[in-house]
Amino acid sequence: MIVPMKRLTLVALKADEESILQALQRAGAVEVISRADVSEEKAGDEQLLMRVQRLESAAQLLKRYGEKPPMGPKPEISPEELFASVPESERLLERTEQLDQELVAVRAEIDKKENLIQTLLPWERLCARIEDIHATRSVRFAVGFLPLGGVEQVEEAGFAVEAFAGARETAALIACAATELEEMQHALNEAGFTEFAFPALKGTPQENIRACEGEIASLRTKEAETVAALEEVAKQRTLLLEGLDAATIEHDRSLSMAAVENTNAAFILEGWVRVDEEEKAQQAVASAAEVFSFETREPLEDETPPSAMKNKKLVEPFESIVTMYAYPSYRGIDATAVMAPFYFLFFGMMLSDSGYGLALLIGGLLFSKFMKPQGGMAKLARVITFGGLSALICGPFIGTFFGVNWNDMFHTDIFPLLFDPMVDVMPMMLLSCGLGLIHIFAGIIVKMYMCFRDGDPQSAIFDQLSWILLLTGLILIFALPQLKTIALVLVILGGGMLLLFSGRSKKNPFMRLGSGLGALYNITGYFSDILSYVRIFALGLVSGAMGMVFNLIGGMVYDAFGGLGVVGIILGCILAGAVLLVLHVFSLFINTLGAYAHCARLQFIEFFGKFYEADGRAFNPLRFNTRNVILRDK
Amino acid sequence: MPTESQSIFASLTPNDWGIIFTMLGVVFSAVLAGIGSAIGVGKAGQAAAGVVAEQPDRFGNCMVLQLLPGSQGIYGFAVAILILIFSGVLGGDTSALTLEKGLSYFTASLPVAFGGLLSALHQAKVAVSGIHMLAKRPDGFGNAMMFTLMVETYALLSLIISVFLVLFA
Repeated sequence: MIVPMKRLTLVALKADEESILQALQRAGAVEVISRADVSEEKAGDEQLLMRVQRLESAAQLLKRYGEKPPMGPKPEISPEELFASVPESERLLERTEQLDQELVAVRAEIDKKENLIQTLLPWERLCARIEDIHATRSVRFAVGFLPLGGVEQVEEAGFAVEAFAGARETAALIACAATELEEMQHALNEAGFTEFAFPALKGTPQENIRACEGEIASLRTKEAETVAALEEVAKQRTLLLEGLDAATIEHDRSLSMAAVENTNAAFILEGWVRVDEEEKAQQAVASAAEVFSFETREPLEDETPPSAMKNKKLVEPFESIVTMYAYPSYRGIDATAVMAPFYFLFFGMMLSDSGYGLALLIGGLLFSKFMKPQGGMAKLARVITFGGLSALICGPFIGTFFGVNWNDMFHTDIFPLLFDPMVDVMPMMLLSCGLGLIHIFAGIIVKMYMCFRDGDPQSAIFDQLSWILLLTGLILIFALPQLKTIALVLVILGGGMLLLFSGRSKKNPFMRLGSGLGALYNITGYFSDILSYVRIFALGLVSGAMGMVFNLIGGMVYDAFGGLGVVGIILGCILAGAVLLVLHVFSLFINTLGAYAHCARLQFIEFFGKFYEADGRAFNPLRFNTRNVILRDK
Repeated sequence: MPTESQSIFASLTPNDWGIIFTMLGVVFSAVLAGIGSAIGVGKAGQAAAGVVAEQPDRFGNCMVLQLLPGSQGIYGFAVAILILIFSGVLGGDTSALTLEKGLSYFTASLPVAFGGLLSALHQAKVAVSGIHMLAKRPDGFGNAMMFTLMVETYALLSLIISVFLVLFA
């Protein structure tokens, strides 16, 4: 069912604002409504947001330096412990950022030195000190590179060249008398000279290169030290993650704080609270402040409260399937309870193998027990567990056990108890479609209920009940010809209602008949919906066939070693076992995915299409929203 | 006078022809549907890798979407196995296979072969778009999966017809 909401108006002293919001966040029962003038992005404390982002990127950074965390559930701590970890995580954050900056700086320095070495390398054999190469009173120098053959050209022109041949160019130092400068420049241009400027350094190029190499060596040591320090810090990454959760909680609260209306001395908080949590919210406020006004009222017609679903524990996991489609409209209907039994049955029929069912059941239970998944993941795990149970039950009726025929296992001929999909194709297909018909009727009945509830009995009878009559009648004509009269009455009654009353809002009789015909045309839609349930049969067939073939392959592997005596039997067993394990895990995975997805599709398209109003919005109260730890209730 | 090539075919008995066409059916259903799925899963996988490179936590959802065009290959495979079993090839006894039987098995393979091939290719396109949608809207997984599954229906219908034809061949 959809939990009724109440509109809350809370007025209290501004001095108590922080503590009241803290108490409300702990209770997790109130969704704060934003003041009209606060936009989502601007709201909230920027500094807190910054801290969340810094912690996030630090945690991301440390991921690279730490060991992979062991498999297992997230750590479980109390809110007090979480908030107590804040100063320590702050220290860790600063240390991480500092180390990261150091590392970046060291690496930049190494890059710089390596570039310098690259620059100086062509001049390694130049004996002159760099600071000495400059124009004197009578001599001019040119420093640069000459293409191949350029050196000879310049020498022929009569200038002194000191050349250091490289792979593609020649580094050259050319000297001339001050008076011949123009001729030299001309000759150099002819030879294709490109000028080079030494960086402002002292000493010979070689000395500089050696010095750089020495510095790089010590920088590398420093780099290694910093990385080691980061690895050390990474061991405490969980602490950083706790800090991240704490910061997120604080930031969430600041968002709500920004949404609150303020006067000089008081604040007004508008919000939604679940009817069943009203008490809890009020107590939370009372624990944090002495002076306050806590008033609730029913939502008005033009207000759209958020939707929260509440179901029995057995059905609750299937909410995850419903929300995957869309949240129900607040004034619509929560379809979880009606949907769950069908989902359960269809899943089992699609998987239709007790062995696979058993594997999912045990796997799902172990996963829930040891990994302690939270939220949507927990629900999904339970849906799969239930699906496994269903397949376990369906196996003896229409399926197999790990692809093995039950009869081969027990030397009987009574299995499968219902039909063998590979032999009794027609009955199995009719069973699938029949169940589909019941599913669709269930959807129509829910819609009828909604019509009655909303005070529109005409729609319930003429637009919904008429279809049940018409479809039942049509099927009876073919299935049980001896009841022909009853069937015909049903068809005429249902079809007549549709034809005459579908356009009951229209005055013009021809228009009215026209909409009636249009409504009758929908019969094609209903038939394609019913046919769509054939997929139950098809997927069951595929999982059965896959299991069978894989067993066949396993058998062939075993037979291949059959002639080798005892060794062959042992070897065959091991190899066939390994092959079977891999193949069946694959088959289990593919078929579970297929069953999960196709069951959901049958619910969404064929079932929800009949009645579901899906324009709801999830109830998102101010609460402790943690991603990295599980908060223990006190 | 029969020419050389005529004489080769003339030497085949109806039973041989039956076996040939049965095998062709096996090949068609396994190979064509398999090609479709291989291309489909491949394309979707490329798109998924692109998204996961930026957002590693989308891996699970992306993989599910990537796998959806993979089912056609399995349907084709299942039909191929069914033909092998029902025609007796897998049991080693093919003596009952006639030309008519062989042609029936061959025909039976066609729906899943072509339905599978084409639906896998088109499903892959939807899967790729869905994966891209997931990159922009993390909560869009349910929708993306539904869009992709819409195409699957037609592969399933082909499968059912193929199975019928095999069982009643």
